Amino acid sequence: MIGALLALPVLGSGPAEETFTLRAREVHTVSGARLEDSSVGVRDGKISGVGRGAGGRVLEGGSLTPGLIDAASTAGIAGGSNEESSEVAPSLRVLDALDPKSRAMERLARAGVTTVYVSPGTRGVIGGLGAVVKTAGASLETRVVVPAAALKAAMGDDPSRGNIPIRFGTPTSFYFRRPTSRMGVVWLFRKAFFDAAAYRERGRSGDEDMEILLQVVDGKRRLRLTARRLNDIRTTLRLADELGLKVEIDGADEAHRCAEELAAREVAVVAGPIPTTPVRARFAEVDEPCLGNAALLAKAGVLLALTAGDRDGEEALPGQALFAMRYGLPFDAALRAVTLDAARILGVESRVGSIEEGKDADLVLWEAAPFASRPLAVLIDGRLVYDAASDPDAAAREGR
Amino acid sequence: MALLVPLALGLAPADGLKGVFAGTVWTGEGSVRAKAAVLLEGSRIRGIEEGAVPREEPGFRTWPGGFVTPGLIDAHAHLGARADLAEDTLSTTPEARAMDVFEPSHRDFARAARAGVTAALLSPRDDNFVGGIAALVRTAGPAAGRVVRDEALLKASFGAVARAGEREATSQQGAVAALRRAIRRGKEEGGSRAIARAARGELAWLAHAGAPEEIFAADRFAREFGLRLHLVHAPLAGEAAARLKEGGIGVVCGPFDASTPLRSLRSPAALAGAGVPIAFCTDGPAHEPEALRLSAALAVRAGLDPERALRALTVDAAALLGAADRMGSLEPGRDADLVVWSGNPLDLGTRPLAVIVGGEIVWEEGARKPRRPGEPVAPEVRP
Repeated sequence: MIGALLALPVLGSGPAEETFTLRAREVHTVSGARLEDSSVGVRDGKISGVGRGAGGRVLEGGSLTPGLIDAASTAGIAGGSNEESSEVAPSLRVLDALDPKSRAMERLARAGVTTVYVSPGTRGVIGGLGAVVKTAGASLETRVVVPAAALKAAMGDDPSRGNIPIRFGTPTSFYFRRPTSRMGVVWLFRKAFFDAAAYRERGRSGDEDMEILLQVVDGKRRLRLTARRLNDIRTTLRLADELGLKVEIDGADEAHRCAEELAAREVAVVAGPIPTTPVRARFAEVDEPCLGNAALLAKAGVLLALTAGDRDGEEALPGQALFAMRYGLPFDAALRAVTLDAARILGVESRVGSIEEGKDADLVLWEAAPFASRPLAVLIDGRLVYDAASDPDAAAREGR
Repeated sequence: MALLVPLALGLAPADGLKGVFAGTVWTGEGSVRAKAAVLLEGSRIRGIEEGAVPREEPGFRTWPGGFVTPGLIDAHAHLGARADLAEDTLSTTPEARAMDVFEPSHRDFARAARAGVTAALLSPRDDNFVGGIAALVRTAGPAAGRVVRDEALLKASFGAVARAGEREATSQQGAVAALRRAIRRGKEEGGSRAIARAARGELAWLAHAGAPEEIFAADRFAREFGLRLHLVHAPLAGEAAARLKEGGIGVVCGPFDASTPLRSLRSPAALAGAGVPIAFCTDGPAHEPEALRLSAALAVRAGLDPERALRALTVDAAALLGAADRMGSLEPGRDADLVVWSGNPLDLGTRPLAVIVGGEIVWEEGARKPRRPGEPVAPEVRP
């Protein structure tokens, strides 16, 4: 408890933007060449120079990368990540339920994850609007990158799990309802878009749910689907064709089985998290997940990001990158998948995802190699939101 | 307590109380007067006479050691109708009116009055996203004058309690979406009149919030729609004080008791320090009326300026509830609702000696039976 209180000034709002010079033996810019023994300057919350410092406070480490991006996080949602009373709720906004003092977000920042796409859970067929936010900053307002980002939807078992088929007992609960099957999930998804088309045809206006679905149809809003099994992924692609939708997929445990098709159709995939506990204990839909999923997707040329989902500690995003590397994903591809390519999938690559002059100063200074060593310092928008040297918790956690 | 019998309601002040002399008078407007008399005219306050001497004329009462304050205001309560102030079947019931279950003769009100609480916001509970319209009522006095504002505030809730059960909505995201929908529908032709008024800013919102993210959501909601909104309960609101100040949001704090964590007790001080208007509440009958003074006293112990605490119990509460022209201070023309205490009411050893509502003594220590019109008040009995 005392440790937690002491750690508060380290995370949380922290000091105002400062001028920094970050020096590392390797600077991974991601967008450009890798620089040896180089510096990066930070001023006014932005990267002011690559290959040259900016004066100010000097931080030194083994390697420097852009802040990591988790493109499918569940961190920080208060009051339940799922709305149980409705299967189709496009106008729900996850931002309405983000906890400004979330400990999960603090842990992400400490692990080097600086930007996340947080979305409603997978209990809704169409769950609502996610948000892209930084994991730390002066206030939640300043942390928001995209307040109403991709619309979240789900295929497969998630939306029907928990609903009770009517043949059991007397319907006394609102869980006696559709969908109770994969087929029912697809039916509701399709019906939502049919309703939106009819709404437009009749020249109606003022229904936010319908307007959001039409934004997706018109390509003005991204659509993120959770689809884990091969049949769910194929169904997603079929629905995309049928309804004329551009989709991106997360979950995607069996995406490697249709990697070529995903690459050819330019469907982006957010893969992970890699299971580290027995699959059955997690109610997973896929019996034997392929540990080389990410590697196979990258090899096929799929635009790939990695996610740690709700995992923490060693299973957090740097750990996910390491797991993927262990099973065949090259380091450069792994780094892109948790930085610039994740930013591209989220449509925020103009602000974050690489070390370029003028981009947000979201940076991770690692003790040695990225992922395999610990973060020494994490900057978000030019603020030092984590400093291992002044974090008493880190010393205790790491036995120093 | 057996000696303390609440006096009957609805009795006209036939003998006409004309003045109250006390050793100390705190007017609610930031001034403490020693040896002063509060002069009354009918049911209103006529003025304060400083340097007064006790008078032996009819209609004047004297408490040489007394400490007079405006009657205390409980800014969120469910007196006399706790079970009837939440409609469970729906999560949004903007047209429900607390006024419709107001029973002035319920003993909850008499209990509040004899604890020095002369007015209370009778509010829908925290169980619905939009619970209905709260009424500001007096706890005693003539029946005709009991309702001060029948449509004082629109009660809303961002709390987990409103998401319990199997009905729309089960999550905070769903709750805010439901509120947003309610506003949108209220603005449509034939929509809820209460919501429409509240959306236009004619009716202020009083929103229950618990956790920090609920306070944040309420604040954000108020900004999104340009609403006049105040918070109730919000135990950690003090940690968002600067933001709330910026948004013009007031906070009804409490109820606090001995088990309230210090972190929550510090909230009123932080709010007051940032210039956020505060009041206190009991949620009565869930808590005893004495919880109002106790809450304020605990907040003082945790750093709240005592003067601000007294204001929060009176004049600031009145302003927050939109009744500053009627109650909360001893300014001339205000309702003659005041309490004579044995000392400063923030001192928990202090007890009420007499409670006056609408210019009439509605309760007095030692009075053994209801006073009939014209009957002299029983002689003061000191325990």
